[in-house]
Amino acid sequence: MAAISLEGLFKSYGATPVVRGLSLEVREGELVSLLGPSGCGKTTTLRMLAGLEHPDTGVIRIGGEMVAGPGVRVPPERRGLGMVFQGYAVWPHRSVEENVAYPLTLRHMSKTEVAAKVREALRWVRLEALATRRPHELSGGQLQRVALARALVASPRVLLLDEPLSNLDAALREELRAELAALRARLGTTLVFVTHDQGEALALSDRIAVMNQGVLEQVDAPETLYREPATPFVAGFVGGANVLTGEVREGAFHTARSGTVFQLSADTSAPPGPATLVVRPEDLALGEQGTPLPLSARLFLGHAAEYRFPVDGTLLRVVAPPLEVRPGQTLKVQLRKARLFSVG
Amino acid sequence: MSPLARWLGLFAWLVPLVLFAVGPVVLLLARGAGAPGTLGWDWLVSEAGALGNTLAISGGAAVLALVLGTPLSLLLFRTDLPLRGAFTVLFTLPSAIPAFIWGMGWLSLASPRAGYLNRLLGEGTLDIHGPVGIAFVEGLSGLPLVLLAGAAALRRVDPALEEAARVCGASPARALLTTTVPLVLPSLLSGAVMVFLMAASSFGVPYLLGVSASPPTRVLTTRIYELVLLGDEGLGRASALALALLLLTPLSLLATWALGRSGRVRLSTGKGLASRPLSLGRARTGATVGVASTCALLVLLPLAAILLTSLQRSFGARLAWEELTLAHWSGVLLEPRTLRATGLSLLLATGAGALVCGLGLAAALLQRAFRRLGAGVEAVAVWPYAVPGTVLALALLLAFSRDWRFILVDKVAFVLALAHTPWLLLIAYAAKYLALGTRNSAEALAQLDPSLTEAARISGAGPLRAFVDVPLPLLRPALTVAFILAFLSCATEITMSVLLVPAGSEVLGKLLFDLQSYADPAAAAVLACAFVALVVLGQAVLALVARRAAEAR
Amino acid sequence: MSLPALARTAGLVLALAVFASCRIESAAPSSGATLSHEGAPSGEVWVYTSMYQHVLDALEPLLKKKLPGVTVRWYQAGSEKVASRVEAERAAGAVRADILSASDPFFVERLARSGAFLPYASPHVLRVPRSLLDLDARHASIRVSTMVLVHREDSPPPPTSFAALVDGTWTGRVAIGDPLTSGTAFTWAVFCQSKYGDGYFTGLRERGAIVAGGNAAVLQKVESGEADAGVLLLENALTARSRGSRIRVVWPTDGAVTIPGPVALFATTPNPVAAKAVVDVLLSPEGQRLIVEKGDMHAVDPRLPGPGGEPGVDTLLTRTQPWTPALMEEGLTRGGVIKEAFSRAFSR
Repeated sequence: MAAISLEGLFKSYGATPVVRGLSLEVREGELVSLLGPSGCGKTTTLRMLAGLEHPDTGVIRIGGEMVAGPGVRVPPERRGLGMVFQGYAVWPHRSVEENVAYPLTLRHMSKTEVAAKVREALRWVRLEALATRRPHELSGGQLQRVALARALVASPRVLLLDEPLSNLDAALREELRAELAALRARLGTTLVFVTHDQGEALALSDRIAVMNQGVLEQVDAPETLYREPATPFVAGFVGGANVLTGEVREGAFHTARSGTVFQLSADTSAPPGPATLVVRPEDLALGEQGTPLPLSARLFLGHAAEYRFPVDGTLLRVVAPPLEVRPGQTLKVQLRKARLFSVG
Repeated sequence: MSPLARWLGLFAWLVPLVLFAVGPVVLLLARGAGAPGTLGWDWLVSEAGALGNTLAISGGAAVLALVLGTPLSLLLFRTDLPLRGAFTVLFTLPSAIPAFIWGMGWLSLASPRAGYLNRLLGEGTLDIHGPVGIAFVEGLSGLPLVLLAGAAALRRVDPALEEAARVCGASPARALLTTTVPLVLPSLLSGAVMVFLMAASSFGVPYLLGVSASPPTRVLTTRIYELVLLGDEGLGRASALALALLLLTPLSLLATWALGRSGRVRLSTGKGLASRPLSLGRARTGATVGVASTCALLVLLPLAAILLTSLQRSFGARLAWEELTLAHWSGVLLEPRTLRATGLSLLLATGAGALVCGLGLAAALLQRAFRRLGAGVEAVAVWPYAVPGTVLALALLLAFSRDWRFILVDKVAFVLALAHTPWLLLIAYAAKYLALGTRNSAEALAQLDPSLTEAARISGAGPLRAFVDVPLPLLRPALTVAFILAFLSCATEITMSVLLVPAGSEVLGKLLFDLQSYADPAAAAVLACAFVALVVLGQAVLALVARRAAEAR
Repeated sequence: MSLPALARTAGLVLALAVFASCRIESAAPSSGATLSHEGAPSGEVWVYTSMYQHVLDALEPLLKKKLPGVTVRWYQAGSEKVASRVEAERAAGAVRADILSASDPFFVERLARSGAFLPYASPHVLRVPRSLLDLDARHASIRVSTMVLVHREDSPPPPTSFAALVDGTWTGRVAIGDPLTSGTAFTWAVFCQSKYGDGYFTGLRERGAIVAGGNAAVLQKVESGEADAGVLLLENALTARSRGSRIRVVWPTDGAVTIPGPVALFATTPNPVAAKAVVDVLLSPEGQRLIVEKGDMHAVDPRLPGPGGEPGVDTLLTRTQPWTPALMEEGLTRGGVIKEAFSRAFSR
């Protein structure tokens, strides 16, 4: 267990900058997710933390010790980490046991000690029965758990997970997510988790660091992030919010292209001028008042329904109780709660 | 890999290569360029025929290998054809036996008057002499390069792609043609490019089948040989021609690279793809007969011809039982010289095979570490493959007939005295066949996800330990293939062996050349048959290794 | 800077320093031979030769017996390969050989003119016909190969002269060696070209002559029936006959072509005493006898009979075309032109 600190990391491949000035503190025993769309630099950040890439500039500390910085470059094997790769990276030429035992054999432990630790690690991930199997005989979920056991077996200071659930089907994903949460509670290791799935991040993390185009947009606890997104990007990515650009005039929002007008509620503070409107689907209401818009589609969700209206070339999504309406009908859409970000 | 380690690695790899292979050849070519008699466009125009022949023959060989190799690789590696394993071994024989021996086989089958086939079909029906015959023999001996490239690619293609096409309503054959074939084609084409390169740099077959054609078919390599024999006045021209030949390498590599980039399909990590062989159904019998007769005609028939020749009292004698004799067999095989030569050759081939694997693997790793610069590394590694044997051997003689002394601070001296030692042969073999190691390792490495190695690093292994524990065992099958191919090529190499053999020693290649040139073809055929036996043995080992690897996976 | 990085940098600097202080020299290989004093030849003698391996195998015991202190190291290869190797080593300035025993008179003469050889007149050459000797004693023939006509016993009547191959009196297909790559075929081509002109080559082409690579290829073409007759070395034909082949030799009426096989000492030899002793053994009656009996070639010693029941070297010289200085000059200076003419004639 160790705290992690990243200070002013820059990394580019050739002329393409991938990470631009990233700083982040991870407290001891904390689980922090790096969340963002693919190509945002989150995996590169994780790999720099692991020592698989070296930052162009910036400093990385693990447990107070500088592992990367000017003139310092601690190789991955001396950083005391565990890591689960996106593609599992379970060695096909070794059995499950041998895979899991590998980090221990490198630490010159006695045979009996290794065997005991391997058994324990396999029990954590509930794979005791498959210890002697070869990787090609295992399913994706089982391979995932082998990778996890291998990452955990040597009690690393920090556990790094690179999209560990993305290659799994939904049911397995749920199951592993629960297991991961339980393991974390038991082991208390510092965890850094890379994902592009906001649901995963929201459910597991102590804090989430949202990245976009190599820059950290916001770092906060899941609830704060969801309720008070600092930027339109975070709002759009984390809450699935509708994002519209336009202008605030006379207590109303005018969209940029079609000039559709939404009345802002009284508690929305908005200085006049160009702005970005961010509103979650559930913060829009259908009713007697509001902006009339033609309905293009209606999706039944069970407890509610999602309604879609074309606005400014995108679809405005509204989640509201199920109504008997048909596409083509005009409905009135009202903003209940919205965030406005001034542009410029 | 840290930048410093990368550059140090490149340096450590380049030094022996430049010192022992590239440097000497460049020196020889530079020397030739300075020699008199190189001037004049009209001279270059007069050699255009040889250049044209080289391009046409090599192109023809590549096309033949591709046309034969594509359906064969699909049938052998994708369907439930019976006896697939046996056919695979037989069809990979052609590149393991020197092309020159296949030339001998076809010569005894299809000489216009005396060939066995022409004696059956009537005089002059077939004529193996000339460009078509050369391209035919070269194409056949290059067939395995296409076949093995196809096999590797077929293993990489996700069967789900084909199944998706089936679900979309395509018939099995159509699904194969519209999904798998386009994905595999780049690899097959890259194999064909290697055939092109091999044919362009080969000497034995064009010499054997080209001189007697009317008009004589001259290619770049045979012209280079003729010019080198003129001594200093020809060396300049020979260098110019060799340069033309050497330019073909980067061009072909560029083509392979462009093709390979579009065709690279990476296996998902850790999860083997168990592809179900396509059922041939009613076509099974037809396909089996087709493959079997192709195999019989193209592989077994020339081998049988060589065997028959080895049993005749003299080549061209009447075909009758009482004319057959084992005299050549006992005369050649029981000779102590043969045993001595075999011993040295096997030793050298083992050493060269190990060097080819080691340096080839290093080349593949560097190629990966340097990304763009890696193309240059590959070019350097593959380049000697296209250097004609005569040129490489002469270059080494020129560079290493003198002793080289490295004197350290006037105290310690390392003396590099290679003249008349087997080391010179080892260098020549390793340099010439480095391409086999490089390409095999690169292909295999491309299939390995880097995260496998990274996982070992994270687990606490240093760079070296991680490499030994993870990629190396996974690369072993590919390295074994490279080793055996290089081993066989070195054990049967002729041109360089004759020039570089140390005084008082013998190697198999020289023995074969002697028998062919001074004794008689029958005796040479004996040795050729022994080579074939060696090759079949090697192939059997290879097949065993492949099966073990398949089980382990 | 951390300690390992410091150590690494220091190591690199050290390596560079060592590398920079390294001096590279090259020198001719030091010969391991101990120089022998007069009267007792010893040490190593290196011979580059195109003589057949089985002849060398036969000579080995004789040399052991006569020169017990001398170890002879052979580099044996085809005449062209020996020439290439010698040229390359000369270019590098380090010829390892003490003795050259080639079968290409033009090549040996060229080297002699460039001063590569140490003049030496062996006492055994006194009986050798003058035409086979170099008057400056730079080299001396030890064997004579002969280009003759061959045919199969069961073939139609053979040609009787080299001229008959082109003048229309004989209609069959002849196989000849390739002058561009085979030294013996080249020598034959020089003789025929100087006697019959460039038209000889075009004549051959018009009558459908088959060009084969070397002598073995010619033999193979004749034996297999691919060609009706061939221009071949006498020794190859005799060896084939003793093997049971139905090849028959025809001595051309316009004179066979002799190809003397000279031996010479390199001027750079570190062990001239032993090298001279080896040459003496090769020219001695015992050595000459082995050349006849094992090599099926003519000895230069006129007291010995020829190979395969043929008469000795004196008679041979009467039934062959004489070597003249003009011919030697022709082959030396116009070799490239003759090859060019041949190549042009056949590529039409």
